[in-house]
Amino acid sequence: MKASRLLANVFAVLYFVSFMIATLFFLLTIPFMYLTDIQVLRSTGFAMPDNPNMTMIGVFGLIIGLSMLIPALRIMYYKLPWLAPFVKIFFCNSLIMALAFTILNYGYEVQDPGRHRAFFWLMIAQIVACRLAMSFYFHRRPAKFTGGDGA
Amino acid sequence: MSSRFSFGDKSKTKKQPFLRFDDVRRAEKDDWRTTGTRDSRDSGPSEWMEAEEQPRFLADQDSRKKFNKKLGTFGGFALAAFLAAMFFSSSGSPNYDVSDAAKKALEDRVSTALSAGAVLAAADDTVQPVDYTIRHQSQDESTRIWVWDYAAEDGDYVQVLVGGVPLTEPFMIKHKPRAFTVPATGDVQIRGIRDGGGGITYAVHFELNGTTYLNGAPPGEDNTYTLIRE
Repeated sequence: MKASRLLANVFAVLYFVSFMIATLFFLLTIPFMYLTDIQVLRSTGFAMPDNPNMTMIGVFGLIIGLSMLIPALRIMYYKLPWLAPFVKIFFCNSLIMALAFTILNYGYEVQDPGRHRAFFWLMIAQIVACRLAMSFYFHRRPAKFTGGDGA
Repeated sequence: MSSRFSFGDKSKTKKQPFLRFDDVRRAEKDDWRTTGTRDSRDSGPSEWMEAEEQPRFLADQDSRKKFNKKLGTFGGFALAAFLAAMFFSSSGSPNYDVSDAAKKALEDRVSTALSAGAVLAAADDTVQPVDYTIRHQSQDESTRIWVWDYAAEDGDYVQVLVGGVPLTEPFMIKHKPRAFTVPATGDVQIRGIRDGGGGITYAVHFELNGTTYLNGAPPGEDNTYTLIRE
């Protein structure tokens, strides 16, 4: 094995252990966190002052983006055939939920029941529209298992 | 193994009665490259090392290019999401006004030097609620006021009332000021609705005297600004 390839492998493994594992875990759990936040928002009637989950999604976007754009880090997608479809689907899902929460949170910044209802239905419409768009996209371009021994 | 090397096919064996060992090896190698399967009878150590070092699908250059292209596209999308989240995130650090005028305003709680939307502190401090009387010579029937959170955006809610009648629904005060039009005479109240933490502190800027008031309103209590034309 060439030294450069060995170095790339080590870099990819370190990146995966340091960043990707936590990212994968949060991509799995964040949609549930958003559902809880939405429930809290609806029950209290008060918006949250800032949206830390949106910042988290941004950080995950950076981690995932770098892992897909840096050739040395792509090795992890070659070795783990489930990783690319997992990341694509769950990142899109988390992004949709983050956007939904942001819409509802903005609506609840003013204590007006009519405004609350309007933004709630706007959030529902956004989730349905984005999920349909996501389904259409992955229907056209399926997120297949690629790489690894099963390719 | 590919069917073209089936020894049961008599027509082929007739034309090619003997398959040389090299032909079989070459065919198996081609077969491995296209299907990704490998036979234990395969060849020498150098080729085996190559197979160990590279994932099998990489042997197909087109597949690798397509896969890399898809990864690159989605990676770009993820980075765009990162940039958008950072741009729209409200947790970014505001531009704090650390001028002498700002420090003096924090001490005096009143300032004519501050503009609407000035952010003066990173955290709420204890502010006693104060009522003010504003005397002016403006002949306008109405005037504008701006209300915002001059300290931490911690989810405080206030409500603006005119003569005890709500002008607005309760709203969250943020660093970005909200503008309202109120009568130039009479009482304008700002009522504390919800304490997001550290007390409800806000700033209000009156257009008719160009003055900013830093005030605090406990939940359910009002600060009254009495506007008098002289």
